[in-house]
Amino acid sequence: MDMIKIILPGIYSSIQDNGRRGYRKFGMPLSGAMDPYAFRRGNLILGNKPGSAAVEITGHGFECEFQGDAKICVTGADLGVELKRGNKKINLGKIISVKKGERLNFTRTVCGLRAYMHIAGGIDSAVRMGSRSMQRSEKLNAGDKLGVLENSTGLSRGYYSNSYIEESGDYILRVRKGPDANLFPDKYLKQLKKAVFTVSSYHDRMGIRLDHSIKIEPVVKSIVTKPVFPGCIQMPGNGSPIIIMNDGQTTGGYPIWVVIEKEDLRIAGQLKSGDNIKFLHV
Amino acid sequence: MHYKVFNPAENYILLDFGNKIDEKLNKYVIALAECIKHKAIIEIIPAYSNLLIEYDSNEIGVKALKTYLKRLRPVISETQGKIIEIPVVYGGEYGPDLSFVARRNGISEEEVISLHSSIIYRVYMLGFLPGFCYLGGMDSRISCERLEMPRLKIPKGSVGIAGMQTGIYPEASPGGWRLIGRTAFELFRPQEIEPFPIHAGDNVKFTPISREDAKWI
Repeated sequence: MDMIKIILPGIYSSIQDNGRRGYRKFGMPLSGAMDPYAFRRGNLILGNKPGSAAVEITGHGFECEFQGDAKICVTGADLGVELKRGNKKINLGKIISVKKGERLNFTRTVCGLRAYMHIAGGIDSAVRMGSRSMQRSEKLNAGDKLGVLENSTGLSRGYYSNSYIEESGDYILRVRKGPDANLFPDKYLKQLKKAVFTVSSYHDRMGIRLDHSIKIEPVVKSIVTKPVFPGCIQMPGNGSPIIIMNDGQTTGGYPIWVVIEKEDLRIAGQLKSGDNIKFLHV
Repeated sequence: MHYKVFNPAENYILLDFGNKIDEKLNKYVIALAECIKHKAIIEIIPAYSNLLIEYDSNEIGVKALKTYLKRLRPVISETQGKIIEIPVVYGGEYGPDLSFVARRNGISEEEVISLHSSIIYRVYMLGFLPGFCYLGGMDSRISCERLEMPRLKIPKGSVGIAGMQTGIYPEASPGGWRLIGRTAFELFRPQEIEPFPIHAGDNVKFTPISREDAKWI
């Protein structure tokens, strides 16, 4: 049954779940929620089965209309979510009862970049190669209607806090040495402590390019192509590091210096242009 | 076979068999990937000389996982993998760089076609785009450097050459490969149960066909 109608898709909106497993050996990207923590928590709070699909919304400008009564939960970035019932502000991580005909608006970017709109039961869309996640060539468009599954457990657990998302856009990301760390002299790891990296305007679900003022060059520039995964930081010859993200290539030919800790990927998924990052080697 | 083990994330380990492209090594990597059967292992991604494993860190620790992998005894099969035939229309508007590749190597266009289609190429790995095969074994007499200015859009099915490599674009994409032909063979079939007809370890052979034989033109 159609439950959600997309009125405005905003910059970019897509259906996402835990991603696609088993096909990366064929070059198929992992996909899945860029902020896995916010995604997981939304399902937990609504009592959905783990990995139930949600709408991932990038920045403000998204608007949808409900085609029936439903329970929803919004997690992730604070995008000034309002229910057009006297412009009532919606709190993140709370179960909200919406009624047929009501509209949900994402009005402004307060902090972070990506929010998740979960609905009780989870979004029903075609499962392709084991996942409902949209691929990088796909997106939600105005007028699209989304159905809902009816497999909620009805048991609400946990809470959500987006305290890891900073309004200032200043972050510390924990990293460990990558498989090609030996190509980078140790002095760079010392520089890494002080260096500030700025998120460039080249960032999307495939990867995040960072600008920085220090010079970091691998001893060897070209390596045999090998598998990469979300969180890997590639160092191309020109020195602008790229964080590989969920829709990124499955293999890469640039050295991987450091890798973002799994627990901090939720922060990477919230990075936007102009945010400043420091890396902490752990 | 000796390999280095990296633990680049809480849920990944990477086995590194040496930074090189080598058939024997690659066969071993693929054989090892095929004999891994463990409930805590989520996904296995083999490449030229690396094997990436995603695992559930709540189910198994790195140490136990390393021990499990060390005990495996992969068997490299001596028989050649299956050969997949790819029909290609060479030259003309489908291979705008065929004449350049010929001139560059001081041979005729027919010789380029003949050299390109007479070899059985081994699929070392897939990556870059869904279904893209990294092929090994191209004849050095048809090698050609990439375009200085990459094309903004290369049509799906284009067959190209870049340095010592040859490959097929599974979907339209920007790229700097020298295009010598085009195929209707689908490398990625999202609607099918088995979306990827070619696997690492298979072999590929290009068969020249005329424009008349190519029903898709």
